[in-house]
Amino acid sequence: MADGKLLIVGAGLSGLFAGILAARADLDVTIVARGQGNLMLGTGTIDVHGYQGKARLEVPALGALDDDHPYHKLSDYALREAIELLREICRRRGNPMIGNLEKNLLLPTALGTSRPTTLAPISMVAGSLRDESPLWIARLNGFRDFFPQLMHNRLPQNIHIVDLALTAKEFRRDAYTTDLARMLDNFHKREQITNAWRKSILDYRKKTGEAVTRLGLPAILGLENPRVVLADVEDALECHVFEIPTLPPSVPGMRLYNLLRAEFLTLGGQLVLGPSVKGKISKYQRGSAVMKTANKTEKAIEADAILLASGGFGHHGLVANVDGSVTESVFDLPVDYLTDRHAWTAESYLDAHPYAKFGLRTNAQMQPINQNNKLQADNIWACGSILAGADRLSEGSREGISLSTAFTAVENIIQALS
Amino acid sequence: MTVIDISSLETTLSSDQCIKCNICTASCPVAAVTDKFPGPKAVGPQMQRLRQPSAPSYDKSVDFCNGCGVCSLVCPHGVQIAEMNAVARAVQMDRDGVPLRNKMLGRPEPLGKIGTLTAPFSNLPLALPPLRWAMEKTIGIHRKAPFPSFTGKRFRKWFKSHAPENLIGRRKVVYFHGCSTNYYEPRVGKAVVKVLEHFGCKVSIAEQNCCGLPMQSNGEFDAARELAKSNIAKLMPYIRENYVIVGSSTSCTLALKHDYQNILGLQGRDVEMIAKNTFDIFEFLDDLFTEQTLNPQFRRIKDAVFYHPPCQQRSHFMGQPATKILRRIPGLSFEVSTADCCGVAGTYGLKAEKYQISRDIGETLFAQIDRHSPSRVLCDSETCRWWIEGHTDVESIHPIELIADALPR
Repeated sequence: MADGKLLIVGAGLSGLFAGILAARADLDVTIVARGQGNLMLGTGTIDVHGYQGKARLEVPALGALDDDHPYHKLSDYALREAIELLREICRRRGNPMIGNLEKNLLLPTALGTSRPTTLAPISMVAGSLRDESPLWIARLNGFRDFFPQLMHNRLPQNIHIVDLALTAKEFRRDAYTTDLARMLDNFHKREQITNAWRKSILDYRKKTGEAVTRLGLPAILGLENPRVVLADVEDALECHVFEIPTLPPSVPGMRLYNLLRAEFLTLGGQLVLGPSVKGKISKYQRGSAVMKTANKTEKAIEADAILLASGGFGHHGLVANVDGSVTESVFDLPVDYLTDRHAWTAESYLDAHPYAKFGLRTNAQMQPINQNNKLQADNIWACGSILAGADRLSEGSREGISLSTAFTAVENIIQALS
Repeated sequence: MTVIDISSLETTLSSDQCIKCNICTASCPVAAVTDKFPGPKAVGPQMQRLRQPSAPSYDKSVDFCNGCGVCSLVCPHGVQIAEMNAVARAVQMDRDGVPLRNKMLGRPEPLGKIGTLTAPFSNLPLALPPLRWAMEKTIGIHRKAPFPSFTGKRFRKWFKSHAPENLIGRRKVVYFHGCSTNYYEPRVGKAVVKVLEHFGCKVSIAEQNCCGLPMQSNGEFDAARELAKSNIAKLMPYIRENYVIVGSSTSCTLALKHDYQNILGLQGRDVEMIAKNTFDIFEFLDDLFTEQTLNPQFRRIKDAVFYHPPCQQRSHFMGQPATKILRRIPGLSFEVSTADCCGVAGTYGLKAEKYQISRDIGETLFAQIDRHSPSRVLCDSETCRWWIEGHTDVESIHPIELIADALPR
């Protein structure tokens, strides 16, 4: 057991997960994040390695990745352990995750493609595209963020569309996924909605003579108690039901955020949402940090160790400046990037872009180093999407990197503080 | 002290940072339960463009913002949405006039004075259904909204007769008890004093008045500024003598730390000094333990409780220091709420047209409490405690009361 204070910058998947692991080891942990992290924008699944070039991988092939990929810095157990720890937390907190590192799941996307992923919430697995039986997809009238026609047109599987009514009274504004999820969380509204859906399904069967065996819905099956919502909907509709991740706000992502946050807070961890953190590194190679508090003064954040989980370009961890330089936002640590601005992007928007691999270079302990492999500070570590060497989007590897590098960073922090 | 024009505050100008990602709307507890409120993004940064002095906006939905502040916290781009809405509401009230009901709810202090003098009789009217019905019909305070009881003995009176444990304490603290501790829950103040004195602080209570937040959130900015100025004048002599201000109500302390400058627009050295030297009780204790490398020992309390950090507490940017200290109590297990708001948001949920909205917001929290079936719910804000008790039948106390109970005897 270690003793000391750890500051984590960032409240995305890697920041929260690292916070939980460190708090379990009895460290005094504070997470400071400028706004909510990336989970609300993601899919709520854990992607470890899904693509090699354009090919979908049946099994993660980490060996095929470049030598400087973050996965290659890890011990042979880090990824496996991290996945198991996450799985245990999710199961205990009512959002069980299905899948394993031996074989990727293959799930449909709302845009009508198939997507490999390693772990998915139990509410998504009945949509597996490895199962070749037909799929029925719900079109919710009045909900503007989900178009099953895209799936029908683009997926090779046999796909039917079923119209379901949203029984809720007319919304005077656009209904978001979160609105629908909250209605389904409520027992009485859930009963009303499932009754109406049941009627639509029966009508559909009468009209077409087809029995719906598995039905896909946009991911709206409750924020608070997804297992109960899923079971109730399946009971009412008498078929398997699965969720398809939608545009943000992502309900499965929020569930993950909520449960990780609850776990962290219950361990006594401190979560400060709002302020941005500014740091500096002394000539003795020690990092220190301050944040602006509610009274607009700068407060020093006491920390024996600092873990940057501040994300990539989308979350202010990395900043691309107008002069063509790329900087790290807290300590101005050296960033691996291409100085030729024209080399940042590929020809086509959907290609793999070189800028995706920009980020911090670290040693095997997850401590930032410069291009000559020189350690930048004795008490700074980094994990998650700020790390260089991975194209998380093209590889389908974002969450696997976040979890395993957070695990490794915390392992080393604990060792350093013991 | 000067007052700046609120339309030029950094707050209102931050609307230009909005990229319309909708993270705020997805987190907004009000938008989650009603479509009368289009959500923080729509009412805040989006509407702000139409609120220039030359083009007054008549969108009244901003009045449905309950001021919990979660939107400003989750925003990844630094838009001060909640603050923007508070200012917009004040401008609207200025134009349309403040309803009598809001004026009453904005003045807990005169009510407290009369109520305390005449307790327990003053508690009767609020317990009489016909009277509550009449109140709802005439002034618009919902008949089911839970109210606290007057105690009859004010906290300040108790303090004056109390023999301090520690007169020579190294740390000098002036305790900002707020209205609720004085008139309704002196037990919270007693716990604060007991804990502070136990850890070697010299505790004083300055002359003080209502922090002004109830007026501010009911749209009376001018009146709220007078209360703020009066508090600043009463507290400054203590600051000059190196006292720090410690409060047990996270909403009062947030007013002192943040709202006086950033919402009411007060400027100057004094208001800054007050802001810099105000601490929440748990923030103060946590700093004290760290500074003095104290490792306090507590008595064993075999209990399972539930802790709900109120929304104003999160806007302090101090984390949840109560959990750090609760964790030191042997035998105590606790679960922390992930509900962003209990619903009542000060006086919002007491209003007839908003009661149901607040009740619906509270469902998330009440369901979590139900699931964990704790013996007590801990919460740092008084109005939340009364709301939680009124709707769950679980006793709700300030976490400092549990700490006071756990001090070695």
